[in-house]
Amino acid sequence: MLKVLLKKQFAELLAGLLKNRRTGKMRSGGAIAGYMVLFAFAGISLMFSFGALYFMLGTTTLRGGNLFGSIDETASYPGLYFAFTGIVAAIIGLIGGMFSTYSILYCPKDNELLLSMPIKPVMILAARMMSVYILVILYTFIAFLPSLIVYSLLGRFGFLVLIRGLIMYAALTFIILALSCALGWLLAIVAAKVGGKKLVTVISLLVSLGTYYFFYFGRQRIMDLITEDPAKAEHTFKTVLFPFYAYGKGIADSWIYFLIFLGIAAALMAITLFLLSRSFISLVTTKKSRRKKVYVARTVNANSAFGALFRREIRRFLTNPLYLLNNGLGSVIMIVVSVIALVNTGAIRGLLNGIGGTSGSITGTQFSFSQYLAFLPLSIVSGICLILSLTPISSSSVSLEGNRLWILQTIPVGVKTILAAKLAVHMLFAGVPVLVLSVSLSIILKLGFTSILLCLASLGVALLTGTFGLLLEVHNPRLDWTDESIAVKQNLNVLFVMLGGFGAAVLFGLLFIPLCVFFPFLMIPALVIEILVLFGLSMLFFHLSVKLWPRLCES
Amino acid sequence: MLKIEKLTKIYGKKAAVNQLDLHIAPGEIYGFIGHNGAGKTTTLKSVAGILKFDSGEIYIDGHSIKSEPIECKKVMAYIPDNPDLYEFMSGIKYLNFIADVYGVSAQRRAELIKRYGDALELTDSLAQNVSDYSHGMKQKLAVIGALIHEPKLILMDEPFVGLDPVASHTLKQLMREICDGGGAIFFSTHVLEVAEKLCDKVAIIKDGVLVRSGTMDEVRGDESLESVFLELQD
Repeated sequence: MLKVLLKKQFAELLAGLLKNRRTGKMRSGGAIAGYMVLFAFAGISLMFSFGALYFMLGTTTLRGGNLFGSIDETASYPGLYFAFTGIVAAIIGLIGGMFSTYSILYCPKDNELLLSMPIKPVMILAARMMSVYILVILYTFIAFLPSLIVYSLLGRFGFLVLIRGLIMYAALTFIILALSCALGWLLAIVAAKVGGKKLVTVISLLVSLGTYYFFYFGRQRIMDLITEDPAKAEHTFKTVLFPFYAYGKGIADSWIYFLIFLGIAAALMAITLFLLSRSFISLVTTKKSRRKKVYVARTVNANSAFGALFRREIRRFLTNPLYLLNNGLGSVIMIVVSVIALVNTGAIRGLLNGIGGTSGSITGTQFSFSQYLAFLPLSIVSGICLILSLTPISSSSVSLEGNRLWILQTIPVGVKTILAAKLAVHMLFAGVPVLVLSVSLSIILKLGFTSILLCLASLGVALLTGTFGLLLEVHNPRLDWTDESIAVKQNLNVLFVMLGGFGAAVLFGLLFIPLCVFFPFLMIPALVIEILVLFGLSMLFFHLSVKLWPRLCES
Repeated sequence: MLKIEKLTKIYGKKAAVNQLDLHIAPGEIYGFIGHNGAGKTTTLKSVAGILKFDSGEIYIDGHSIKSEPIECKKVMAYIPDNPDLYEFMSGIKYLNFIADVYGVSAQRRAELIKRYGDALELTDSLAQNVSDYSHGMKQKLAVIGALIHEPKLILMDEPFVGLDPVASHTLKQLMREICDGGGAIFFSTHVLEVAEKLCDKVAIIKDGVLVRSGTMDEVRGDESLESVFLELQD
């Protein structure tokens, strides 16, 4: 029975990857290859960044700071090295796994259908857990493989380390699976007791973000602790982070810790399976009843068609926590950065003057604050490209129509108005914060006339990310979702807009900043060119989106 | 009101609808029947402007859906077989959204929401979110949304599915009232008894080809509609 369920589960997974969501047909070989190359590129890039981190760590923990000499056993802490890499893999796996676990285990639409069949609930649960497990493996492997490769370069690598490493990695993935499923189980209990899938989405997103930022800021602290005093760090790991200590020692040199870690993994899996299987049916089938609101007729004002569409888009964005937190995080960051920057105006100006002294060694001249102003606006535009890539509001806006697209297709409103309403919401939540950020930076840097150009360029970037997202969405939306998270979290258009933002930042930076360092008088023309390019491309993308819209009526 | 000329829609190599001709005059309730996959929904979606078609023409109130889609959509309403509506809106917000899009005045929409909401027994639930509605309630909301801008032509795909007997009876009465007032309704159904009692004219489609159409008496002759339908399917 489990085999049949797993077959169905994998068929769903493969269909998601290999079939075109709009037409329902198989993607072409070229498109599949393109996606594979993209995923491989993303995976390899991440592996390199983890590898670089591990290399820095390994230089201290495995080589005692001496990279080229022979290994000094008294200054080598392989257990500590693997313990740290275990923490990285666990956090990456948890971020990837726990967010999806609730929806994968408890929300599929065929849960009730399967429960009505002569199948043991634990089998359904096991098949669903396999999907989570695949996600966990995908995420953790990206963090695990570089740890072995770096160890083979810096440590005493051998067959036993490889075998123990692979077994411990498998055990680690089971621990992450158990923790992810336990969190999914808690969220399901919250959903059943309190009601409201939105609340669950907010909690899981906040936990994901919290874990990410904990890792981001905590990582450096742990690295500092290890590099300053590895022996003390080893002791701290043993007392505070024992499971990871056991993981590290288990791979490096200790069969006892190897067995202890396997025991921890087995116990956690057993407890999780027991808890989940006992409550699976009740959690899947319980729905919290809500108090019925009674309608009272009120006079309303009539709006224009654009106004109605615009308000509809705003309501969708603000009432969908997944959409709001995933695609709108950059808006909050921009406002927060603006306020912090304004509060610390004096410190920022002092910092820039200070950097002026050190940068002089590159060009052979000392920079003053005023000379900085010659290329700072261009650097800010590149920075804004990066920040706005975290605010891809328009790049889920067509996919989120889903099965409701028929409403837009049957109303007597032109395509331009429909798309303009989507773009307007993007500009409200991405354009306004970026304008606030640009104005505050202009005040801090006393940019004068240049501030107008900076604001225009910033709005141009917002417009470009908006129209680029729209174009991608109209060209290839994900409309056949059963869960909105697919339209938001698993939407490649969001990824493409983010990559586009990075690309624009690098391109503008490379083209203009070096030029203006040496020829400051070119800063204004360079900004004008950037503005023209940004607005020109935005108009082109919007025009193409309007032209491509009728394709949505082809199947 | 609706003129379909040589409509052809091809999926891959198969013609889902092939050279279909149909004329619907104001005041007519026109039933569209056929087996599953016969081409009913494809035809309705093509008329509604949701689906592009390969050849032929569709005129609504004298306007071509190909070249003047906005003009056509202004006088038409479409109710799909599965009423997927905006779940992030309450029922009343959805109706106000539709009314805004079609330019219905505040006063007129209030009258119509009250009238159709009461008739379909949905008024009390209009403050609730659509996500909390049952299938039948969504169907009722879709019907009110279609009627709120007083269209001349209403396209309905299996409108009675999911409705309780009372709502089903009310909808039939409303359909008759609309057509008596000069409107036209083109709807698909599998319930032949409903078609037989309600429709002025009926069209039977098989494998994308119109096999019979006309007034109810012309189509069924001395037999029941069910017998005619079954004969034509053989």
